[in-house]
Amino acid sequence: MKIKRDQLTGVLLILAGIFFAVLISQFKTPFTASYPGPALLPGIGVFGLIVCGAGIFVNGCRQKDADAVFLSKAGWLRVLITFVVLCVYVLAMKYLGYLIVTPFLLYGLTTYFAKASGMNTRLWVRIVFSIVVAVAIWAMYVPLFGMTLPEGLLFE
Amino acid sequence: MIEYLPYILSQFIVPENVALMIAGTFVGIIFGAIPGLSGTMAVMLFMPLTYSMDHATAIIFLLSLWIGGCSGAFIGSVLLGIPGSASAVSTCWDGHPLAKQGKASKALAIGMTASFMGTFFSALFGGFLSEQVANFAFAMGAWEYTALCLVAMTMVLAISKGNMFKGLASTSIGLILASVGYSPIDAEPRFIFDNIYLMGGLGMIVVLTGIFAVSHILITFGKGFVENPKVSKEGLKGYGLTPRDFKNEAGNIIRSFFIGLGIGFLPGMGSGLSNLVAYSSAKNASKHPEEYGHGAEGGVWAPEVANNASIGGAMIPMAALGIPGDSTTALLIGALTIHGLEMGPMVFANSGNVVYLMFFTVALVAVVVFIMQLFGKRYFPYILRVPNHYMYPALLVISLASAYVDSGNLYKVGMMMFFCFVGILMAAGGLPNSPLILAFILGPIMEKNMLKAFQYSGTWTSFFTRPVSGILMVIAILCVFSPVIQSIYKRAKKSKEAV
Repeated sequence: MKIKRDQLTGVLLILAGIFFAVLISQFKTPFTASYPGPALLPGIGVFGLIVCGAGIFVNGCRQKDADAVFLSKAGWLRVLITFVVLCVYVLAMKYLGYLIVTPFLLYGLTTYFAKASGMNTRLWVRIVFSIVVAVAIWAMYVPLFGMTLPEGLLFE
Repeated sequence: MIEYLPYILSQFIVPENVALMIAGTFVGIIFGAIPGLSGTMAVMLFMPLTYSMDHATAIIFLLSLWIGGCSGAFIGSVLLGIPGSASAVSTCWDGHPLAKQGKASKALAIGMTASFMGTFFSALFGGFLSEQVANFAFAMGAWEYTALCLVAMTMVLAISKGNMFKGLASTSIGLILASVGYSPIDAEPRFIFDNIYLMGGLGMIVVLTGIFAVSHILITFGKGFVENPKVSKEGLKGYGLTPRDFKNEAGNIIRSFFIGLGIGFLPGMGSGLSNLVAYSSAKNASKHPEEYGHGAEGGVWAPEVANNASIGGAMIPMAALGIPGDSTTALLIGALTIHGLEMGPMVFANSGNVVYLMFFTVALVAVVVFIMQLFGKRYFPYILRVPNHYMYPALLVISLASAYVDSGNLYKVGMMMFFCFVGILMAAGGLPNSPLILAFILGPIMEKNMLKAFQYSGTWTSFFTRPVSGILMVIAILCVFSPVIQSIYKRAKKSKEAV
């Protein structure tokens, strides 16, 4: 039997609810009827997660139709690759800083996004776009609004 | 109110404020027009930029982004038949058929005029009404505030289509995320795992940008970019409306305006609902309802007046009660708190000038949007031609940069990637966004008031024995159980018909 998406969602929500319920039970301030204390707000959340998780799970069990496809396998792969690239970008920014890493990220993503979408783009356009946009965003945050962007541990 | 006029006007002779108002409006219109983006996303992404600004400049910039986004949403609806955002869903139903009949110019003129009328007049109404509501709110205690927060969180569930459990689950996630950090009153550490970055809470930008902006872009890419069809700019000249057009639709405009204002005022509701209600009201009241869906002009006037009138409506509870009227006002409340402005009845006594500056800005931006759209009408098709493979990487970089600027460390940028993952899971599970935003922003307000109420009375029954609080609690409970009540009602009606 194929697991329905709602069944999986329900189980994940219940597990998350149980996880947070265990953490709430370790709070030092006691939960009483006259003063529920810090457990009140997350407690409502946990109650909601478990009850709704169960409800979604039951709905999933009752569901007769097959799930509509959320993302194809190729789509999931595209999401995963982009996600990993962004995580690597965050790590690289730590050492090399925003200005060095960002043009590479933009070039990589525009190339990948264009290729995956079957679009033809010129190499020089992507290179110019990557540099101009990276510098424009830096200029907007740093000189214009006086904020900081990562400078990189190697250049400190 | 008049005493604040010199302060308000002085803000608009500052070149920086005027430049940011124009830039914010322009960016907002683009975000509103492009399907998949929205004014809310614009506010979310550019909010950290305002941290270095004084609060008046920040308010002008953020409101310009929001109003531009709301007003620009009809462009995609009319020219592509794809709504720029949820607030312009019903605009598609007649706006696009009008465009296909060669009346794109007129449909766009109706959209921009209706947007102007809705925003401008709702700001005037909001400015006059909010202080009256605030005076009433002085009589409200912690019980009433708790109940009002609950109503705001549950009302959005009552209108969520499909699975009610999913809306509630999204609310629950929002409440748990809002709990991270030290608790109010008792200062108990919650879910911080001895991590110094979690002690002060998760941070609005990190959570919301991760869950909604970054994950949305990744999912859109995963589903495959659909390039917008090319729209010709031929015929998009002139204003396109005559006095007769206004005369013919006067009743529709007035009715839709009050629908939008009223729905916007309700906590948790907003333009996403008002445009649908106004459209069906216009259709029901029309002498030719059969024309709706095939290019009726009233079908463009109604949703566009209503969704923009919701702006002023949503700002009334935001200013007077500190309770957001919709997800964007929830973000604005968060942004204003960062600037040291706590919305609620006391704001009129402490910072009345700021409140009236907000309403004045909305009215002024409505005029700026109208002028921009009037002169930029023939360029609307170009906005829709922005290639996704350039736009989305740039937006991803802005999202990550905004998380860094918001927190000043890369740890929180990494945390945003975690919330991007959570957002992808939520989208895959079909959990809606709006309940989480409202719960995340309202959770701390509700908790503080709820704990205060318990300290004063020592029992939960007091939430039901105080009249206003009791009524609000009953409304909240009815909202939660509304799908069950609706199905019982439908079943009873069916069985009655069968007999």
